[in-house]
Amino acid sequence: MASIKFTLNGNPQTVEASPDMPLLWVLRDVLGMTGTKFGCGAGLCGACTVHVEGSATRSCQTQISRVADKKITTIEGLSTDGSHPVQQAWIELDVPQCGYCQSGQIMTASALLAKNSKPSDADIDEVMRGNICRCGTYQSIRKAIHMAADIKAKGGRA
Amino acid sequence: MSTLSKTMPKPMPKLKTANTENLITNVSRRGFFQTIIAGATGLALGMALPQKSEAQFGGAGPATNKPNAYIHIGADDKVTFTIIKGEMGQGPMTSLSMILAEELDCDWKNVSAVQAQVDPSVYGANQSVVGSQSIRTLWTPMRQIGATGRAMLINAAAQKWGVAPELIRTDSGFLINTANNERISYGSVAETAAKLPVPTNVQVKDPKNFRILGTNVKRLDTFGKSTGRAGFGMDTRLPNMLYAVIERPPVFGSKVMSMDASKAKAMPGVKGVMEISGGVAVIADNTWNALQARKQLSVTWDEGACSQRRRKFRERMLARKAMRPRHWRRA
Repeated sequence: MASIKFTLNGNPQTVEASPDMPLLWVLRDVLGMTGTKFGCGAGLCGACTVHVEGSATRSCQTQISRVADKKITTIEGLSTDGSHPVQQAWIELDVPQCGYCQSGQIMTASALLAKNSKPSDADIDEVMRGNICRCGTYQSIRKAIHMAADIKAKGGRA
Repeated sequence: MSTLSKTMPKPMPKLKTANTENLITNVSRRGFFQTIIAGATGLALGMALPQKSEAQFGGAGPATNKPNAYIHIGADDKVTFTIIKGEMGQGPMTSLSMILAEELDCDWKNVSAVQAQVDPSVYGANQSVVGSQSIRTLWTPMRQIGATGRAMLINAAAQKWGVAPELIRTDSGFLINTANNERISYGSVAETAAKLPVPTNVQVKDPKNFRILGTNVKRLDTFGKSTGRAGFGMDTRLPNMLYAVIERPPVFGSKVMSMDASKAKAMPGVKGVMEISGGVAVIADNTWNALQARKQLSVTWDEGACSQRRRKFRERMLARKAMRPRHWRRA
């Protein structure tokens, strides 16, 4: 067991955990934040995606000791009220079906938009390809990312 | 699912109001809604959904006479529906709510839906969403319970105004006295309605007057699924709960022949190891500890009828078939 400090959704956080425990299980089981999903546990599906220092990161493959003193954002911290441009677009276009992968989709999409404010279809496909959706919402996701880029360009409100 | 083969569509039964209305009960005073809406008051109706229609589609289940579908109209005009079908993305939370809201004639903006618990003793055997059954089996009962709620609100307004119910019409969450155009909201008479008997012979709407059904409304589950708040089975958290992962046998039907769980039990956070049907469960204080301990299990399986030898034969057969793909064409 080790005591690990990091910044979670803007607030200082300390957890007591085995240093090799993946961030995913610290979030879900130790801290009770279930918005981040377990999909494959092998870094293949993207359902567990969070931001570490602003970069989309697979939390199931990130040992908690590796995020000491880093800034982590989860779906719960993206906005408190669903008002992040990506969430606004997701809601406007009714993107989710079963919804299980969507926290990860939204985290990857928001990290993309933070770096590329006007991504092309090719940019989107390149970045989003690691996030699998069994319902097949890919077309809606692409459309919503373009819409989110427009919302962001207009100052964050649809 | 084996029932799917039997789910040939049958013609919709003609809408009969008499066969379900006696199953609707006023549960306003039973405290059911207080468990999902803090301090809820207002009109709550429960309905024992007939299980026969499910059987007709191959999903026969034990009949239940307990109320298992609910609508609630709060004094604050908020309308809450309890949806018994699991929301797996096909949209029953929204589509069944649309049917209820249509017949209740409430304002769609005030509607929210909650997912019913899984409980066959209350909800019958089939809460799953398969074979396009949800609308086919629940169309009539949902209309019935919605229309009954509307009739009770009309009766409450009639009592309040001292006029005949026939003089009152409804419009999107409001009751209107057609004699003088006085309007009050559903919520303002919900408490009065809760004290009234459940009427019989309630009329459902003529479909030509539908104003919600047939329109493209926003899904009720999108917000939760876009903010990480939607609750999936794996997100259930109970006080002091433990986490289990299962070691699965290599083939179906296997049984544990022998097992050495001593190393697994010695791992951090492990609370127990037990044989269950279909595998061996490793129980720990969190999922990660359970996963780590599972790697330390040593199980020898009795593979029974589906032995590895047979599996290898099937694999060879499948590999052969895969080399000669059948060409599929679009119909």
